[in-house]
Amino acid sequence: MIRSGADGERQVREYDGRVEADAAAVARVADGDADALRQLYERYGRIVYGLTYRLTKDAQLAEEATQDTFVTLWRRAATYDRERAKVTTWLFVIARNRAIELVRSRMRAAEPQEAVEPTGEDVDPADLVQAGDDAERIARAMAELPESQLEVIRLAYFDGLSHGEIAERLGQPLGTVKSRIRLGLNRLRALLELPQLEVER
Amino acid sequence: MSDDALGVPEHRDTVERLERGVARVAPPDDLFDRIAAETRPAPVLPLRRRIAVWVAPAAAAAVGAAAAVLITLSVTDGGEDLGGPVAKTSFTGARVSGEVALYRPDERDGLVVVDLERVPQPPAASYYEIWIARSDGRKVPIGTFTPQEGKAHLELRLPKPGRYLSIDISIEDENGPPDHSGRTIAAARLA
Repeated sequence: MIRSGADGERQVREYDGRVEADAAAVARVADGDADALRQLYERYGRIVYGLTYRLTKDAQLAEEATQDTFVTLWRRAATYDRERAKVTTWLFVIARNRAIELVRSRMRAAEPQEAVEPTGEDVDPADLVQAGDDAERIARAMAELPESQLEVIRLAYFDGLSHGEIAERLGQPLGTVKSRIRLGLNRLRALLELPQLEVER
Repeated sequence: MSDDALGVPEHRDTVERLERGVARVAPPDDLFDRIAAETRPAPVLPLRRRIAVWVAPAAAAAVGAAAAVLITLSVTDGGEDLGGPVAKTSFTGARVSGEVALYRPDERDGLVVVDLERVPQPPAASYYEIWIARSDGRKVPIGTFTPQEGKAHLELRLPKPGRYLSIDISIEDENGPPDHSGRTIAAARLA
């Protein structure tokens, strides 16, 4: 989390609050709370899907990878250690690994036919791990945003909503939505320029 | 003006960089429903009735018996007695020892009780998972655990009524795929 800038303290508190809320949600998932799983999916499901789609370049595989990621979260929530990583780091690593595994499985299945099944943008196996690392890093940058900024960017980026539609959806003034998007993009730009995102608290 | 709320000229590069890692696509609306269908309540359940439980050989050794001793535990709500197990057997495997007992597999409240000893701590970034094989051969995960002082006592709900062939314990990587890893440390036949 970038801890400097004009809007610093309030956003840091907001972000830290979400990190705490994520860990609490995983603890509830470990107790079998399906609502907590839904909460985490609503917060990060689109990022996970976007990440796995970028790696697999295939909607069906991205759906499978996303589904497996959250099923894994459900099954392994009791093993999550908040001292080792944030929930988002843990989640995106699971997603990256599963997506890479599915791509490799598809490539193996395609042999000995004509190499890899064409998917529009073929994946070079040698670059797959690097692509996974890059995608995971970018996903983590998105997840580093304070919730108020992540919420509007999620709606704009994944759902393609306009400023007005987001304002209507959230019941927020148009100016507030525009401001949050601008702040979020400013923060994302800064985060993406960092050589390595902060992983541990 | 563009309808794209992120179509801010000075942030075009930022959005393009995002797109290189996270595709700008939304998942299908029913994806969470599919996830929810694959999940179920926490697998390790407290007993809420009287059941017969096989306890570890340590107790048996105390009375000089070679086999485990059957005792009855009294629990909170005094519900229906599950009766004796329809199958009970020992785990085979060099790394652990223990017993498994199967109760009411043909009913909705079917249960499997596992008692283990000599269980080493799992490798770093790994954990133990218990799988049960249905009559079609498919292995279904029913619980995870961490041994305490080398022991574990687990009471696990069966996924659904049916015939179960075997049970095994695997080592799973924390960040691995959800399928069975193939690294079985102990197994037992139930039928």
